[in-house]
Amino acid sequence: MLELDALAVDLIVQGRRRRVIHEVSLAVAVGEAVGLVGESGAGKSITCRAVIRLLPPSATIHGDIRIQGRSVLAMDPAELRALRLRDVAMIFQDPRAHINPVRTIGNFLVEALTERGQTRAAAEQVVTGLLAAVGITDAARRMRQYPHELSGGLLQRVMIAAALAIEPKLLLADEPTTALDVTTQSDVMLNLDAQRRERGLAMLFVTHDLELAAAVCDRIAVMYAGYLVEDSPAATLHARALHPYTAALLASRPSASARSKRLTAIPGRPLSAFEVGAGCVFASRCAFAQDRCQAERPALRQVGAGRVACHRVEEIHAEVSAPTSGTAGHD
Amino acid sequence: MLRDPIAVASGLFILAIVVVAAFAPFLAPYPPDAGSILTGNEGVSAAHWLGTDSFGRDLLSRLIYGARLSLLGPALIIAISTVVGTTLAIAAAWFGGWFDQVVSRIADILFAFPGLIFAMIAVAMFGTGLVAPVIALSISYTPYLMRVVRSAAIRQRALPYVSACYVEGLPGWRICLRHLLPNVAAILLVQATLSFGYALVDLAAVSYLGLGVQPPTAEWGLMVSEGQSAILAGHPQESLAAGMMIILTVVAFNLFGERLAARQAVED
Repeated sequence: MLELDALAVDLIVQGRRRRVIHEVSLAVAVGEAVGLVGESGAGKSITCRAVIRLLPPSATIHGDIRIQGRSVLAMDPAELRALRLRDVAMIFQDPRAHINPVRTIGNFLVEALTERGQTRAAAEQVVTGLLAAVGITDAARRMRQYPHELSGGLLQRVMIAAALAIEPKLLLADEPTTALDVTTQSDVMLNLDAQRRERGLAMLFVTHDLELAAAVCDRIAVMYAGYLVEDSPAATLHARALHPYTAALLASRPSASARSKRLTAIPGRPLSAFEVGAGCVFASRCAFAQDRCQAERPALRQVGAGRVACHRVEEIHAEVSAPTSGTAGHD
Repeated sequence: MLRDPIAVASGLFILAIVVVAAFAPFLAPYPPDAGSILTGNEGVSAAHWLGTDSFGRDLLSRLIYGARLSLLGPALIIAISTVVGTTLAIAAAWFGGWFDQVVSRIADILFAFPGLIFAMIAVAMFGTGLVAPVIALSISYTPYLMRVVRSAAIRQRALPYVSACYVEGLPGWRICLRHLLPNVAAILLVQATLSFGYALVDLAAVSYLGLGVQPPTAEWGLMVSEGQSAILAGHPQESLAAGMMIILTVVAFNLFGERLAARQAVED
Protein backbone atom coordinates (compact mmCIF):
# COMPACT_ATOMS: atom_id res chain seq x y z
CA MET A 1 0.00 0.00 0.00
CA LEU A 2 2.54 2.57 1.18
CA GLU A 3 6.27 2.14 0.85
CA LEU A 4 8.89 4.57 2.03
CA ASP A 5 12.20 3.75 0.44
CA ALA A 6 15.23 5.40 2.03
CA LEU A 7 13.21 8.57 2.55
CA ALA A 8 15.28 11.60 3.44
CA VAL A 9 14.00 15.13 3.83
CA ASP A 10 15.96 18.38 3.87
CA LEU A 11 14.37 21.49 5.31
CA ILE A 12 15.58 25.03 5.67
CA VAL A 13 15.99 25.44 9.42
CA GLN A 14 17.25 28.78 10.73
CA GLY A 15 18.43 29.76 7.29
CA ARG A 16 20.39 26.57 6.67
CA ARG A 17 19.48 23.52 4.70
CA ARG A 18 19.44 20.63 7.11
CA ARG A 19 18.54 17.00 6.85
CA VAL A 20 15.72 16.25 9.26
CA ILE A 21 14.75 12.76 8.07
CA HIS A 22 17.41 10.14 7.37
CA GLU A 23 16.96 7.04 5.28
CA VAL A 24 13.58 6.02 6.60
CA SER A 25 12.42 2.79 5.00
CA LEU A 26 9.01 1.62 6.05
CA ALA A 27 6.08 -0.20 4.52
CA VAL A 28 2.40 -0.21 5.35
CA ALA A 29 0.51 -3.17 3.88
CA VAL A 30 -3.10 -3.02 2.69
CA GLY A 31 -5.36 -2.85 5.73
CA GLU A 32 -2.44 -2.61 8.13
CA ALA A 33 -2.05 0.04 10.82
CA VAL A 34 1.46 1.20 11.54
CA GLY A 35 2.21 3.48 14.45
CA LEU A 36 4.95 6.04 13.95
CA VAL A 37 6.16 6.91 17.42
CA GLY A 38 8.72 9.32 18.75
CA GLU A 39 9.33 12.42 20.81
CA SER A 40 8.67 15.93 19.52
CA GLY A 41 11.10 16.77 16.76
CA ALA A 42 11.88 13.16 15.92
CA GLY A 43 10.57 13.69 12.41
CA LYS A 44 7.42 11.60 12.60
CA SER A 45 5.07 14.36 11.44
CA ILE A 46 7.42 15.40 8.66
CA THR A 47 7.57 11.78 7.51
CA CYS A 48 3.79 11.58 7.55
CA ARG A 49 3.40 14.85 5.66
CA ALA A 50 6.04 13.87 3.12
CA VAL A 51 3.86 10.90 2.16
CA ILE A 52 1.31 13.26 0.67
CA ARG A 53 3.87 15.92 -0.27
CA LEU A 54 2.59 18.40 2.25
CA LEU A 55 5.94 19.99 2.99
CA PRO A 56 7.07 23.58 2.55
CA PRO A 57 8.14 24.34 -1.03
CA SER A 58 11.72 24.76 0.14
CA ALA A 59 11.88 21.14 1.35
CA THR A 60 13.69 18.59 -0.74
CA ILE A 61 12.79 14.93 -0.59
CA HIS A 62 15.23 12.13 -1.41
CA GLY A 63 14.55 8.45 -1.77
CA ASP A 64 11.14 7.33 -2.87
CA ILE A 65 7.56 7.22 -1.62
CA ARG A 66 5.23 4.78 -3.32
CA ILE A 67 1.50 4.46 -2.83
CA GLN A 68 -0.01 1.42 -4.51
CA GLY A 69 3.25 1.03 -6.36
CA ARG A 70 3.21 4.53 -7.86
CA SER A 71 5.85 7.01 -6.92
CA VAL A 72 4.31 10.03 -5.22
CA LEU A 73 7.39 12.10 -5.92
CA ALA A 74 7.08 11.61 -9.67
CA MET A 75 3.44 12.69 -9.81
CA ASP A 76 2.46 15.89 -11.58
CA PRO A 77 0.07 18.27 -9.77
CA ALA A 78 -3.05 16.77 -11.36
CA GLU A 79 -2.09 13.21 -10.42
CA LEU A 80 -1.20 14.34 -6.93
CA ARG A 81 -4.57 16.03 -6.56
CA ALA A 82 -6.34 12.89 -7.79
CA LEU A 83 -4.38 10.84 -5.25
CA ARG A 84 -5.38 13.20 -2.45
CA LEU A 85 -8.96 13.29 -3.64
CA ARG A 86 -9.42 9.52 -3.88
CA ASP A 87 -6.80 7.36 -2.23
CA VAL A 88 -5.31 9.12 0.76
CA ALA A 89 -6.94 11.08 3.55
CA MET A 90 -5.30 12.85 6.43
CA ILE A 91 -6.49 13.58 9.94
CA PHE A 92 -4.69 16.47 11.57
CA GLN A 93 -3.76 17.11 15.16
CA ASP A 94 -5.68 20.35 15.67
CA PRO A 95 -9.10 20.16 14.02
CA ARG A 96 -9.94 23.74 14.90
CA ALA A 97 -7.02 25.05 12.89
CA HIS A 98 -7.56 22.69 10.00
CA ILE A 99 -11.20 23.46 9.29
CA ASN A 100 -12.06 26.75 7.63
CA PRO A 101 -13.65 28.83 10.41
CA VAL A 102 -16.05 30.79 8.21
CA ARG A 103 -17.75 27.87 6.50
CA THR A 104 -20.26 25.45 7.96
CA ILE A 105 -19.46 21.89 8.99
CA GLY A 106 -21.76 20.67 6.22
CA ASN A 107 -19.85 22.65 3.62
CA PHE A 108 -16.57 21.28 4.90
CA LEU A 109 -17.80 17.70 4.80
CA VAL A 110 -19.38 17.64 1.36
CA GLU A 111 -16.70 19.63 -0.39
CA ALA A 112 -14.43 16.75 -1.37
CA LEU A 113 -17.43 14.69 -2.49
CA THR A 114 -18.93 17.39 -4.70
CA GLU A 115 -15.44 17.97 -6.07
CA ARG A 116 -15.55 14.33 -7.20
CA GLY A 117 -18.74 14.97 -9.10
CA GLN A 118 -21.41 13.90 -6.61
CA THR A 119 -24.50 16.04 -6.25
CA ARG A 120 -24.84 18.08 -3.11
CA ALA A 121 -27.87 16.07 -1.96
CA ALA A 122 -26.14 12.72 -2.47
CA ALA A 123 -23.04 13.98 -0.71
CA GLU A 124 -25.08 15.21 2.24
CA GLN A 125 -26.68 11.82 2.58
CA VAL A 126 -23.31 10.07 2.61
CA VAL A 127 -21.98 12.55 5.12
CA THR A 128 -24.97 12.22 7.44
CA GLY A 129 -24.36 8.49 7.55
CA LEU A 130 -20.69 9.03 8.32
CA LEU A 131 -21.43 11.48 11.10
CA ALA A 132 -23.63 8.84 12.69
CA ALA A 133 -20.81 6.33 12.28
CA VAL A 134 -18.35 8.56 14.13
CA GLY A 135 -20.89 9.09 16.91
CA ILE A 136 -22.56 12.37 15.97
CA THR A 137 -26.28 11.77 16.09
CA ASP A 138 -27.81 15.17 15.39
CA ALA A 139 -26.11 15.41 12.02
CA ALA A 140 -28.59 17.80 10.42
CA ARG A 141 -28.07 20.39 13.14
CA ARG A 142 -24.31 19.96 13.26
CA MET A 143 -23.98 20.43 9.54
CA ARG A 144 -25.54 23.86 9.79
CA GLN A 145 -23.18 24.90 12.56
CA TYR A 146 -19.81 26.61 12.32
CA PRO A 147 -16.60 25.10 13.68
CA HIS A 148 -16.50 27.45 16.68
CA GLU A 149 -19.84 26.05 17.86
CA LEU A 150 -18.43 22.53 18.26
CA SER A 151 -16.15 21.14 20.94
CA GLY A 152 -12.69 19.87 20.06
CA GLY A 153 -13.77 16.25 20.33
CA LEU A 154 -16.77 16.75 18.07
CA LEU A 155 -14.68 18.66 15.60
CA GLN A 156 -12.13 15.86 15.46
CA ARG A 157 -14.96 13.41 14.77
CA VAL A 158 -16.07 15.71 11.98
CA MET A 159 -12.57 15.60 10.55
CA ILE A 160 -12.50 11.82 10.78
CA ALA A 161 -15.85 11.71 8.98
CA ALA A 162 -14.43 14.00 6.29
CA ALA A 163 -11.44 11.70 5.91
CA LEU A 164 -13.65 8.61 5.63
CA ALA A 165 -15.99 10.36 3.20
CA ILE A 166 -13.65 10.04 0.25
CA GLU A 167 -13.38 6.28 0.90
CA PRO A 168 -9.61 6.36 0.97
CA LYS A 169 -7.37 3.33 1.02
CA LEU A 170 -4.76 4.92 3.21
CA LEU A 171 -5.38 7.06 6.25
CA LEU A 172 -2.68 9.37 7.56
CA ALA A 173 -3.39 10.32 11.15
CA ASP A 174 -1.06 12.96 12.53
CA GLU A 175 -1.56 12.90 16.30
CA PRO A 176 -5.34 12.88 15.88
CA THR A 177 -6.12 12.84 19.57
CA THR A 178 -3.24 14.78 21.10
CA ALA A 179 -5.18 18.03 21.29
CA LEU A 180 -8.17 16.43 23.03
CA ASP A 181 -8.71 15.78 26.70
CA VAL A 182 -8.10 12.27 27.92
CA THR A 183 -11.65 10.90 28.05
CA THR A 184 -12.53 12.36 24.67
CA GLN A 185 -9.23 11.05 23.42
CA SER A 186 -10.05 7.42 24.10
CA ASP A 187 -13.58 7.82 22.70
CA VAL A 188 -12.34 9.31 19.47
CA MET A 189 -9.52 6.80 19.19
CA LEU A 190 -11.78 3.79 19.75
CA ASN A 191 -14.12 5.12 17.12
CA LEU A 192 -11.34 5.80 14.63
CA ASP A 193 -9.96 2.32 15.23
CA ALA A 194 -13.38 0.69 14.73
CA GLN A 195 -14.05 2.62 11.54
CA ARG A 196 -10.63 1.75 10.19
CA ARG A 197 -11.01 -1.95 10.84
CA GLU A 198 -14.51 -2.03 9.45
CA ARG A 199 -13.37 -0.44 6.22
CA GLY A 200 -10.08 -2.29 6.01
CA LEU A 201 -8.06 0.90 5.66
CA ALA A 202 -4.35 1.08 5.92
CA MET A 203 -3.23 3.66 8.43
CA LEU A 204 -0.06 5.48 9.30
CA PHE A 205 -0.68 6.66 12.84
CA VAL A 206 1.66 9.32 14.12
CA THR A 207 1.75 9.75 17.88
CA HIS A 208 4.09 10.28 20.79
CA ASP A 209 2.01 7.88 22.85
CA LEU A 210 3.61 4.46 22.53
CA GLU A 211 0.89 2.69 24.52
CA LEU A 212 -1.87 4.21 22.41
CA ALA A 213 -0.06 3.23 19.23
CA ALA A 214 0.45 -0.30 20.50
CA ALA A 215 -3.25 -0.56 21.30
CA VAL A 216 -4.53 0.32 17.84
CA CYS A 217 -1.69 -0.60 15.49
CA ASP A 218 -0.35 -3.84 14.04
CA ARG A 219 3.22 -2.61 13.94
CA ILE A 220 5.11 0.15 15.64
CA ALA A 221 7.88 2.15 14.03
CA VAL A 222 9.94 4.20 16.45
CA MET A 223 11.76 7.31 15.28
CA TYR A 224 14.51 9.16 17.04
CA ALA A 225 16.28 12.29 15.77
CA GLY A 226 15.12 11.71 12.21
CA TYR A 227 16.13 8.06 12.12
CA LEU A 228 13.97 4.98 12.23
CA VAL A 229 15.40 3.01 15.15
CA GLU A 230 12.91 0.20 15.49
CA ASP A 231 10.06 -1.43 13.59
CA SER A 232 8.36 -4.22 15.55
CA PRO A 233 5.01 -5.97 15.78
CA ALA A 234 2.87 -4.15 18.31
CA ALA A 235 2.01 -7.41 20.09
CA THR A 236 5.59 -8.14 21.12
CA LEU A 237 6.63 -4.58 21.79
CA HIS A 238 5.61 -4.50 25.43
CA ALA A 239 7.26 -7.74 26.29
CA ARG A 240 10.28 -7.34 24.14
CA ALA A 241 11.14 -3.86 22.93
CA LEU A 242 14.23 -4.24 20.79
CA HIS A 243 15.82 -0.81 20.90
CA PRO A 244 16.99 0.66 24.22
CA TYR A 245 15.16 3.86 23.29
CA THR A 246 11.85 2.05 22.88
CA ALA A 247 12.38 0.31 26.18
CA ALA A 248 13.15 3.63 27.83
CA LEU A 249 10.03 5.17 26.32
CA LEU A 250 7.93 2.37 27.74
CA ALA A 251 9.54 2.78 31.15
CA SER A 252 9.10 6.52 31.31
CA ARG A 253 5.36 6.41 30.96
CA PRO A 254 3.57 7.28 34.18
CA SER A 255 1.38 4.50 35.48
CA ALA A 256 -1.52 4.81 37.86
CA SER A 257 -0.85 1.41 39.39
CA ALA A 258 2.71 2.24 40.37
CA ARG A 259 2.17 5.53 42.12
CA SER A 260 4.79 5.13 44.76
CA LYS A 261 7.58 4.89 42.26
CA ARG A 262 9.31 8.01 41.06
CA LEU A 263 8.73 8.68 37.40
CA THR A 264 11.61 7.50 35.32
CA ALA A 265 12.91 9.82 32.67
CA ILE A 266 15.35 9.30 29.85
CA PRO A 267 18.45 11.29 30.79
CA GLY A 268 19.42 14.10 28.47
CA ARG A 269 17.23 15.78 25.93
CA PRO A 270 16.03 14.57 22.53
CA LEU A 271 18.41 15.55 19.79
CA SER A 272 17.49 17.22 16.56
CA ALA A 273 18.27 15.21 13.46
CA PHE A 274 21.11 17.52 12.50
CA GLU A 275 22.79 17.40 15.90
CA VAL A 276 23.73 13.73 15.90
CA GLY A 277 27.33 12.70 15.54
CA ALA A 278 28.83 9.80 13.65
CA GLY A 279 27.63 7.05 15.92
CA CYS A 280 24.26 5.70 17.00
CA VAL A 281 21.74 8.53 17.27
CA PHE A 282 20.71 7.44 20.75
CA ALA A 283 24.25 6.85 22.03
CA SER A 284 24.40 10.06 24.06
CA ARG A 285 21.43 9.00 26.20
CA CYS A 286 21.67 5.24 26.06
CA ALA A 287 22.48 3.28 29.20
CA PHE A 288 24.11 0.55 27.17
CA ALA A 289 26.26 2.67 24.87
CA GLN A 290 29.82 1.53 24.24
CA ASP A 291 32.68 2.94 22.20
CA ARG A 292 31.40 1.27 19.09
CA CYS A 293 28.00 2.97 19.51
CA GLN A 294 29.69 6.37 19.60
CA ALA A 295 31.77 5.71 16.52
CA GLU A 296 29.70 3.67 14.13
CA ARG A 297 26.09 4.19 13.16
CA PRO A 298 24.11 0.96 13.37
CA ALA A 299 22.07 0.01 10.32
CA LEU A 300 18.48 -1.15 10.59
CA ARG A 301 18.58 -4.95 10.61
CA GLN A 302 16.18 -7.79 11.06
CA VAL A 303 16.03 -9.17 14.60
CA GLY A 304 13.32 -11.72 15.25
CA ALA A 305 10.01 -10.39 14.02
CA GLY A 306 11.15 -6.78 13.92
CA ARG A 307 13.87 -4.53 12.66
CA VAL A 308 16.16 -2.51 14.88
CA ALA A 309 19.10 -0.14 14.52
CA CYS A 310 21.26 -1.16 17.47
CA HIS A 311 24.69 -2.83 17.59
CA ARG A 312 24.14 -4.43 20.92
CA VAL A 313 20.55 -5.55 20.86
CA GLU A 314 21.38 -9.27 21.30
CA GLU A 315 23.86 -8.57 24.10
CA ILE A 316 21.47 -6.28 25.91
CA HIS A 317 18.67 -8.79 25.77
CA ALA A 318 21.02 -11.49 27.08
CA GLU A 319 22.28 -9.15 29.80
CA VAL A 320 18.85 -8.26 31.05
CA SER A 321 17.14 -11.53 31.64
CA ALA A 322 13.84 -9.97 32.53
CA PRO A 323 11.77 -8.31 29.78
CA THR A 324 13.49 -5.11 28.76
CA SER A 325 10.74 -2.88 29.96
CA GLY A 326 12.26 -0.36 32.31
CA THR A 327 15.90 -1.23 31.89
CA ALA A 328 17.13 2.10 30.70
CA GLY A 329 15.37 3.96 33.41
CA HIS A 330 17.06 2.35 36.40
CA ASP A 331 20.40 4.10 36.29
CA MET B 1 -22.79 46.81 15.80
CA LEU B 2 -26.48 47.59 16.37
CA ARG B 3 -25.69 48.87 19.86
CA ASP B 4 -23.13 51.30 18.54
CA PRO B 5 -24.94 54.65 17.98
CA ILE B 6 -22.29 56.03 15.63
CA ALA B 7 -22.37 52.93 13.46
CA VAL B 8 -26.15 52.97 13.39
CA ALA B 9 -26.35 56.69 12.60
CA SER B 10 -23.74 56.60 9.84
CA GLY B 11 -25.22 53.40 8.44
CA LEU B 12 -28.71 54.90 8.35
CA PHE B 13 -27.40 58.07 6.72
CA ILE B 14 -25.72 56.04 3.97
CA LEU B 15 -28.87 54.02 3.50
CA ALA B 16 -30.97 57.20 3.31
CA ILE B 17 -28.69 58.78 0.69
CA VAL B 18 -28.83 55.62 -1.41
CA VAL B 19 -32.62 55.46 -1.17
CA VAL B 20 -32.92 59.15 -2.07
CA ALA B 21 -30.64 58.65 -5.09
CA ALA B 22 -32.58 55.61 -6.22
CA PHE B 23 -35.98 57.27 -5.97
CA ALA B 24 -34.90 60.76 -7.00
CA PRO B 25 -37.71 61.33 -9.57
CA PHE B 26 -40.32 60.53 -6.90
CA LEU B 27 -38.73 62.54 -4.11
CA ALA B 28 -37.53 65.67 -5.88
CA PRO B 29 -40.14 68.44 -5.89
CA TYR B 30 -38.96 69.78 -9.29
CA PRO B 31 -37.08 68.39 -12.29
CA PRO B 32 -33.34 69.05 -11.80
CA ASP B 33 -32.99 71.40 -14.75
CA ALA B 34 -36.30 73.30 -14.61
CA GLY B 35 -36.16 76.92 -13.58
CA SER B 36 -36.20 80.50 -14.72
CA ILE B 37 -33.36 82.93 -14.48
CA LEU B 38 -35.93 85.39 -13.14
CA THR B 39 -36.22 83.37 -9.95
CA GLY B 40 -32.45 82.89 -9.62
CA ASN B 41 -30.54 82.94 -6.32
CA GLU B 42 -33.63 82.90 -4.16
CA GLY B 43 -33.27 82.13 -0.50
CA VAL B 44 -35.04 79.49 1.51
CA SER B 45 -38.81 79.51 0.97
CA ALA B 46 -41.79 77.18 1.20
CA ALA B 47 -41.61 76.57 -2.55
CA HIS B 48 -37.85 76.05 -2.56
CA TRP B 49 -36.72 74.54 0.74
CA LEU B 50 -33.08 75.17 0.04
CA GLY B 51 -33.56 78.09 -2.31
CA THR B 52 -32.54 78.21 -5.98
CA ASP B 53 -29.28 78.51 -7.89
CA SER B 54 -28.33 81.33 -10.23
CA PHE B 55 -30.42 79.78 -13.01
CA GLY B 56 -33.45 79.56 -10.76
CA ARG B 57 -33.26 75.75 -10.46
CA ASP B 58 -34.50 74.23 -7.21
CA LEU B 59 -31.44 73.35 -5.12
CA LEU B 60 -33.07 70.53 -3.16
CA SER B 61 -34.09 68.82 -6.39
CA ARG B 62 -30.60 69.24 -7.81
CA LEU B 63 -29.05 67.83 -4.63
CA ILE B 64 -31.41 64.85 -4.80
CA TYR B 65 -30.68 64.16 -8.47
CA GLY B 66 -27.01 64.98 -7.89
CA ALA B 67 -26.81 62.15 -5.36
CA ARG B 68 -27.19 59.70 -8.25
CA LEU B 69 -24.01 60.55 -10.13
CA SER B 70 -22.15 61.53 -6.99
CA LEU B 71 -22.70 58.00 -5.60
CA LEU B 72 -22.59 56.09 -8.88
CA GLY B 73 -19.10 57.34 -9.71
CA PRO B 74 -17.44 56.20 -6.45
CA ALA B 75 -19.51 53.00 -6.51
CA LEU B 76 -18.11 52.14 -9.93
CA ILE B 77 -14.60 53.04 -8.83
CA ILE B 78 -14.83 50.86 -5.74
CA ALA B 79 -16.50 47.99 -7.60
CA ILE B 80 -13.83 47.92 -10.29
CA SER B 81 -10.87 48.40 -7.97
CA THR B 82 -12.24 45.84 -5.50
CA VAL B 83 -12.71 43.14 -8.12
CA VAL B 84 -9.38 43.79 -9.83
CA GLY B 85 -7.50 44.41 -6.57
CA THR B 86 -8.87 41.31 -4.84
CA THR B 87 -8.22 39.07 -7.82
CA LEU B 88 -4.64 40.28 -8.11
CA ALA B 89 -4.12 40.17 -4.35
CA ILE B 90 -5.31 36.59 -3.94
CA ALA B 91 -3.39 35.47 -7.00
CA ALA B 92 -0.26 37.18 -5.66
CA ALA B 93 -0.73 35.61 -2.24
CA TRP B 94 -1.41 32.21 -3.76
CA PHE B 95 1.37 32.02 -6.34
CA GLY B 96 3.90 34.14 -4.48
CA GLY B 97 7.35 34.27 -6.10
CA TRP B 98 7.90 36.39 -9.18
CA PHE B 99 4.19 36.95 -9.79
CA ASP B 100 3.77 38.46 -6.34
CA GLN B 101 6.92 40.53 -6.86
CA VAL B 102 5.75 41.94 -10.19
CA VAL B 103 2.23 42.73 -8.98
CA SER B 104 3.48 44.32 -5.76
CA ARG B 105 6.08 46.47 -7.55
CA ILE B 106 3.49 47.70 -10.05
CA ALA B 107 1.25 48.57 -7.09
CA ASP B 108 4.17 50.46 -5.50
CA ILE B 109 4.65 52.45 -8.69
CA LEU B 110 0.94 53.29 -8.82
CA PHE B 111 1.10 54.50 -5.22
CA ALA B 112 3.51 57.19 -6.36
CA PHE B 113 0.85 58.86 -8.53
CA PRO B 114 -2.03 60.68 -6.81
CA GLY B 115 -5.41 59.63 -8.18
CA LEU B 116 -6.22 63.15 -9.31
CA ILE B 117 -3.18 63.28 -11.59
CA PHE B 118 -4.29 60.03 -13.17
CA ALA B 119 -7.77 61.41 -13.64
CA MET B 120 -6.43 64.54 -15.29
CA ILE B 121 -4.26 62.54 -17.67
CA ALA B 122 -7.24 60.34 -18.52
CA VAL B 123 -9.45 63.37 -19.14
CA ALA B 124 -6.75 64.97 -21.31
CA MET B 125 -6.63 61.79 -23.38
CA PHE B 126 -10.25 60.68 -23.50
CA GLY B 127 -12.18 63.86 -22.80
CA THR B 128 -14.39 64.97 -19.91
CA GLY B 129 -17.33 62.99 -18.58
CA LEU B 130 -17.84 60.23 -16.05
CA VAL B 131 -16.06 57.35 -17.77
CA ALA B 132 -12.49 58.60 -18.06
CA PRO B 133 -12.12 59.79 -14.43
CA VAL B 134 -13.84 56.65 -13.13
CA ILE B 135 -11.43 54.36 -14.98
CA ALA B 136 -8.43 56.47 -13.97
CA LEU B 137 -9.46 56.53 -10.31
CA SER B 138 -10.28 52.81 -10.40
CA ILE B 139 -6.68 52.15 -11.43
CA SER B 140 -5.31 54.38 -8.71
CA TYR B 141 -7.54 52.84 -6.00
CA THR B 142 -6.71 49.25 -6.97
CA PRO B 143 -3.34 49.18 -5.14
CA TYR B 144 -4.97 50.34 -1.89
CA LEU B 145 -7.40 47.44 -1.90
CA MET B 146 -4.82 45.04 -3.23
CA ARG B 147 -2.24 45.77 -0.56
CA VAL B 148 -4.64 45.15 2.31
CA VAL B 149 -6.21 42.02 0.83
CA ARG B 150 -2.85 40.60 -0.21
CA SER B 151 -1.42 40.72 3.30
CA ALA B 152 -4.62 39.23 4.74
CA ALA B 153 -4.61 36.49 2.11
CA ILE B 154 -0.95 35.68 2.78
CA ARG B 155 -1.77 35.30 6.47
CA GLN B 156 -4.73 33.05 5.67
CA ARG B 157 -2.73 31.02 3.21
CA ALA B 158 -0.26 30.01 5.88
CA LEU B 159 -3.03 28.69 8.15
CA PRO B 160 -3.40 24.94 8.52
CA TYR B 161 -6.90 24.76 7.07
CA VAL B 162 -5.42 25.59 3.68
CA SER B 163 -3.08 22.58 3.91
CA ALA B 164 -6.11 20.53 4.85
CA CYS B 165 -7.77 21.71 1.64
CA TYR B 166 -4.70 20.60 -0.30
CA VAL B 167 -4.90 17.19 1.27
CA GLU B 168 -8.57 16.96 0.35
CA GLY B 169 -7.38 17.29 -3.24
CA LEU B 170 -9.14 20.57 -3.98
CA PRO B 171 -7.78 22.55 -6.92
CA GLY B 172 -6.06 25.85 -6.16
CA TRP B 173 -8.67 28.14 -7.70
CA ARG B 174 -11.33 26.51 -5.59
CA ILE B 175 -9.37 26.95 -2.39
CA CYS B 176 -8.88 30.62 -3.31
CA LEU B 177 -12.49 31.25 -4.16
CA ARG B 178 -14.26 29.20 -1.52
CA HIS B 179 -11.83 29.37 1.37
CA LEU B 180 -9.45 32.32 1.12
CA LEU B 181 -11.96 34.83 -0.21
CA PRO B 182 -14.59 34.36 2.54
CA ASN B 183 -11.84 34.70 5.12
CA VAL B 184 -10.64 38.04 3.74
CA ALA B 185 -14.15 39.32 2.97
CA ALA B 186 -14.49 41.23 6.25
CA ILE B 187 -11.26 43.15 5.80
CA LEU B 188 -12.18 43.72 2.17
CA LEU B 189 -15.50 45.25 3.18
CA VAL B 190 -13.81 47.63 5.61
CA GLN B 191 -11.26 48.77 3.06
CA ALA B 192 -13.90 49.20 0.35
CA THR B 193 -16.12 51.28 2.68
CA LEU B 194 -13.27 53.56 3.71
CA SER B 195 -12.08 53.91 0.12
CA PHE B 196 -15.59 54.83 -0.99
CA GLY B 197 -15.40 58.08 0.95
CA TYR B 198 -12.04 59.01 -0.54
CA ALA B 199 -13.20 58.10 -4.05
CA LEU B 200 -16.24 60.33 -3.60
CA VAL B 201 -14.03 63.28 -2.63
CA ASP B 202 -11.64 62.64 -5.52
CA LEU B 203 -14.42 62.40 -8.06
CA ALA B 204 -16.10 65.54 -6.66
CA ALA B 205 -12.76 67.31 -7.02
CA VAL B 206 -12.52 66.20 -10.64
CA SER B 207 -16.02 67.59 -11.27
CA TYR B 208 -15.22 70.76 -9.37
CA LEU B 209 -12.25 71.34 -11.66
CA GLY B 210 -14.62 70.97 -14.61
CA LEU B 211 -13.02 67.73 -15.78
CA GLY B 212 -15.86 65.40 -14.93
CA VAL B 213 -19.50 65.49 -15.88
CA GLN B 214 -20.47 68.75 -17.56
CA PRO B 215 -23.27 71.26 -16.86
CA PRO B 216 -26.22 71.22 -16.75
CA THR B 217 -25.88 67.77 -15.15
CA ALA B 218 -26.63 67.79 -11.43
CA GLU B 219 -23.61 66.54 -9.49
CA TRP B 220 -22.37 67.71 -6.10
CA GLY B 221 -18.78 68.55 -7.05
CA LEU B 222 -19.98 70.44 -10.07
CA MET B 223 -22.59 72.28 -7.97
CA VAL B 224 -19.88 73.50 -5.57
CA SER B 225 -18.04 75.02 -8.50
CA GLU B 226 -21.17 76.42 -10.18
CA GLY B 227 -22.28 78.10 -6.98
CA GLN B 228 -18.90 79.68 -6.51
CA SER B 229 -19.56 82.91 -8.39
CA ALA B 230 -22.76 83.55 -6.44
CA ILE B 231 -20.96 83.39 -3.07
CA LEU B 232 -19.50 86.88 -3.46
CA ALA B 233 -22.90 88.18 -4.47
CA GLY B 234 -24.19 86.96 -1.12
CA HIS B 235 -25.83 83.70 -2.26
CA PRO B 236 -23.69 80.89 -0.85
CA GLN B 237 -26.54 78.36 -0.68
CA GLU B 238 -25.61 76.26 -3.73
CA SER B 239 -21.92 75.68 -2.90
CA LEU B 240 -22.78 75.35 0.74
CA ALA B 241 -25.53 72.76 0.26
CA ALA B 242 -23.55 70.66 -2.22
CA GLY B 243 -20.36 70.89 -0.15
CA MET B 244 -22.30 69.89 2.94
CA MET B 245 -23.65 66.79 1.23
CA ILE B 246 -20.16 65.77 0.14
CA ILE B 247 -18.82 66.24 3.67
CA LEU B 248 -21.70 64.44 5.36
CA THR B 249 -21.55 61.49 2.99
CA VAL B 250 -17.79 61.10 3.24
CA VAL B 251 -17.87 61.39 7.01
CA ALA B 252 -20.67 58.81 7.16
CA PHE B 253 -18.69 56.36 5.03
CA ASN B 254 -15.52 56.90 7.05
CA LEU B 255 -17.26 56.50 10.39
CA PHE B 256 -19.06 53.40 9.22
CA GLY B 257 -15.85 51.95 7.81
CA GLU B 258 -13.98 52.65 11.02
CA ARG B 259 -16.70 51.01 13.10
CA LEU B 260 -16.55 47.97 10.85
CA ALA B 261 -12.79 47.89 11.29
CA ALA B 262 -13.06 48.25 15.07
CA ARG B 263 -15.58 45.45 15.27
CA GLN B 264 -13.35 43.24 13.18
CA ALA B 265 -10.33 44.03 15.33
CA VAL B 266 -12.32 42.84 18.34
CA GLU B 267 -13.20 39.61 16.56
CA ASP B 268 -9.61 38.96 15.60
